[in-house]
Amino acid sequence: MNDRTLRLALIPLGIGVNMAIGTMVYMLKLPIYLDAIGTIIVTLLAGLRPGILTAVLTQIIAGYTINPVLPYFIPTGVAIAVYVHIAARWGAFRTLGGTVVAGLGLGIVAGLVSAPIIVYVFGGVTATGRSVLTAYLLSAGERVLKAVLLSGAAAEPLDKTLQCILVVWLLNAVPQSLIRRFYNGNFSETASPRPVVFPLSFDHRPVVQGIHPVVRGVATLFGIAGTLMAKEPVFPLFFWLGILVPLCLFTGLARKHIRMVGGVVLPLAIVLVAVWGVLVGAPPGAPPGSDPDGGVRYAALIALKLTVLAGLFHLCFMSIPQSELLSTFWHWGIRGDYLIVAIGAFTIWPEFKLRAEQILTARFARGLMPDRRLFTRFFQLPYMLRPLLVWSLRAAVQRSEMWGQRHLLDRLGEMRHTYQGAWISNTTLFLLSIAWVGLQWIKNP
Amino acid sequence: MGRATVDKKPVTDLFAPLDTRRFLALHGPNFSGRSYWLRFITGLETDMDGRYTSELRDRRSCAYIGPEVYNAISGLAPTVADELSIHLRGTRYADALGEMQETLGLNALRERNPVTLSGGEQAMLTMVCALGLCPLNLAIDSTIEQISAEYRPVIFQALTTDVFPFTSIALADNRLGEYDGLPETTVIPGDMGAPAPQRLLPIDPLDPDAPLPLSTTQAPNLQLKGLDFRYPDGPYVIRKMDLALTPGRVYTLTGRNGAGKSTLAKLLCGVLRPDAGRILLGDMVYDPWKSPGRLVGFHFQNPDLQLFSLCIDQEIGAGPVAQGVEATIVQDRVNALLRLFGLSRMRDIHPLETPFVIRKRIALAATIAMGCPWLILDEPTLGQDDTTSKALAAIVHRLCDQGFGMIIVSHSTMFRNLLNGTEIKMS
Repeated sequence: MNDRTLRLALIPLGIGVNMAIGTMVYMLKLPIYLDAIGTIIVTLLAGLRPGILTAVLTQIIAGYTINPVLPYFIPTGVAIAVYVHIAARWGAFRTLGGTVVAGLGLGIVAGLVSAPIIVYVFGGVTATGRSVLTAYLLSAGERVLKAVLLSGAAAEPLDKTLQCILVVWLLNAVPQSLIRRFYNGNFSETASPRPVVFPLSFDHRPVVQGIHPVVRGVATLFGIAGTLMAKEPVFPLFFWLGILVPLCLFTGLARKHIRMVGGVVLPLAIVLVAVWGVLVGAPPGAPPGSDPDGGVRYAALIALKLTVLAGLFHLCFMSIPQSELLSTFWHWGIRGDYLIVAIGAFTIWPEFKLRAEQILTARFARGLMPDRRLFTRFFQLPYMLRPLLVWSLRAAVQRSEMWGQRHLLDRLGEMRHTYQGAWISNTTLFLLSIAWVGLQWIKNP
Repeated sequence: MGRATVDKKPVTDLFAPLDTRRFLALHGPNFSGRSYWLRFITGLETDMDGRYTSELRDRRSCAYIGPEVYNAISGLAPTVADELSIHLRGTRYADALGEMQETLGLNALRERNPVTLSGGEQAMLTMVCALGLCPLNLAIDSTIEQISAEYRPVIFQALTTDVFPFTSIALADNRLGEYDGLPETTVIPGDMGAPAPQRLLPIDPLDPDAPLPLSTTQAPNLQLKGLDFRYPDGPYVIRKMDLALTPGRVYTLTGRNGAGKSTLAKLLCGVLRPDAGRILLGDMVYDPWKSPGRLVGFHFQNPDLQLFSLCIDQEIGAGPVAQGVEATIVQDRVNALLRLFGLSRMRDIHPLETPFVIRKRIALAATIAMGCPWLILDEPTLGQDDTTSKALAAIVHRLCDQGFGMIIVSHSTMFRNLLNGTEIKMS
């Protein structure tokens, strides 16, 4: 075991912590985010690069399992990791006061970075409580970006300060013998010899998939680019009903897609129409109340764009069979340590979900949750995070020991993959995506 | 095997007669140093001088499988098939392992995610994977006891005969006496000390005769009437279940994995809500959903996820404190349970800082401390040696005599025989 394997083992677990807390917050129906705790912990324990990887992969995987609009907040996650790394260098997390100040600063940074995304991708509105404030500011005649920034400044620092305090509190509760493994970074070098070179046949693992991984990736990127360029609601509507829905039916994702549209996009669409059509009564840029129809049209465009973006993302990842995940990443050119982190991150979620549910169950079974009221559940959350974090750190240590002892990383790196599949579906998909971008290009040069 | 000095006595001397053996099954109590030794021969621990075993210079892999089997899954493979192909590439044991996969039923699980398998399935998978590496030394520590009895002979057959000629296998387990098909077992030398951290912990043996100031009034009868339960989108796990249980008798709950043992326990302690049917305590209808964990206490198989506090005495006292029990009464209970489980001198230690065996005892003590009239204990003997298991059986009998209703889930035939209870078979 060495430094490298321990860091690699920690990243997927950091992602798991992020997602598990997200799920716990969701299960307990709490009015906060708490979505970056794992990112902060990994940045503090393992450094900047692992922190950034954790942030990026969390948003991608949360998009794949929880809410398909989250991947567009990758820049926010990266900013959080960078800020925490710098703040930790300055020793901000050593005292409670320093932690609070660092948390407030983190909130401002997160608000600044996510504001342009909220404005340009989501039309200024997310399905959270702060949209009420945004809408109020918009109806008072503020410009969109300023309104989003102001409402962010009101909501983000509170959430992020809470997260920073929670992280310090959690790390203080980890047994000393365990946390010491992570602190100074130079872990004891063990007898970890290079593997014996057996006459390994480079058995190429054939992939039998309808779509070549590269075509899958390129088509998704073109799809996203074309959608972001669209200026008229009719194009995303056509793309959604004519292409995405049939593809979802074909790949067996129709049910999940309907659930996503109904659960995530529809509430957002209602808020959008309410804000732009009723409260503001005009599309952005026009004076409030001057053009209610234009406001509704703008709301419809954003809602349809979101449906398509979310659907594309869903389709890209959800339709990969678990058994082809490894070869898909390999074909996408993800190699070395990045392949290990990516595959670890995509594999860990079912396990983490299981652990989070078990902890909640244990808390009930031990009579430590006296009732099921929201208030009780809210104040019980930190106590449930403790065993989850300790389990994660212990698992990281044990896994990294095992990877080193068995030379598993080398074994994974040496695997080769080949592709077998029909060229018709690949070409069709590729041409479709080109046509989509081309159409938008002609319409809005 | 390698040379390490422990208390000025080289490990080689203690294990000299074992050096030439291809397979050895170690028998010994908890904290005898066997885990340390198994980790040492696989290159995870150093000797007293900070050196790793010299044998590893010949650049061969080693493999150690510990009691926390869920952490012996690599976490690098989305499916069982990938986990196998990472480990088994270019292996010299391809034929033997292919046959083993078939007989252990792993081929039916190829598309599953390895982290979601049950404990026994994970243990079998990780064992096949470790063998696939063709390791120089393979150490199997308290893993076999999690595998169900029907598969054990297959594994012993493969390990003890000359199927894996390039690998030395060392096996340590608490239930070795129960297994059929083992040639012979070697008792760990009693005076072997290990420099592992747990040697520094002041651990006492269990004291089943310690006074126990818990309620001695008779628990009410527990009755299930037409209980139905199924998980969303799933088939019925429990269908029209009728059961009448009286306290003062030990009940042992048996059945294969997935037969609904833990689901029944969760319904009784209020984690899940039945779809139909009633639970009666005495003559009164009881809805555990409304006051979870109050009248039926549940001890989980995995202790790590049910420990929440920063020191052992707080952990044991947390349940009664949350129920509003008076502070002096809580203190008495905690002291008594600490003595009962041999933890008196460790009360200030972080529960998660202790080894697996002790964490299991802490979780048991914490469940009993709540004073629920009915208790369900899931695999209480996991990782515990024979002496401790006997003491645990005595504790169960004592609680029973004090009027508690006891339901025990256990795979160990020895423990079930000690309890001599009424069997409830789930199918």
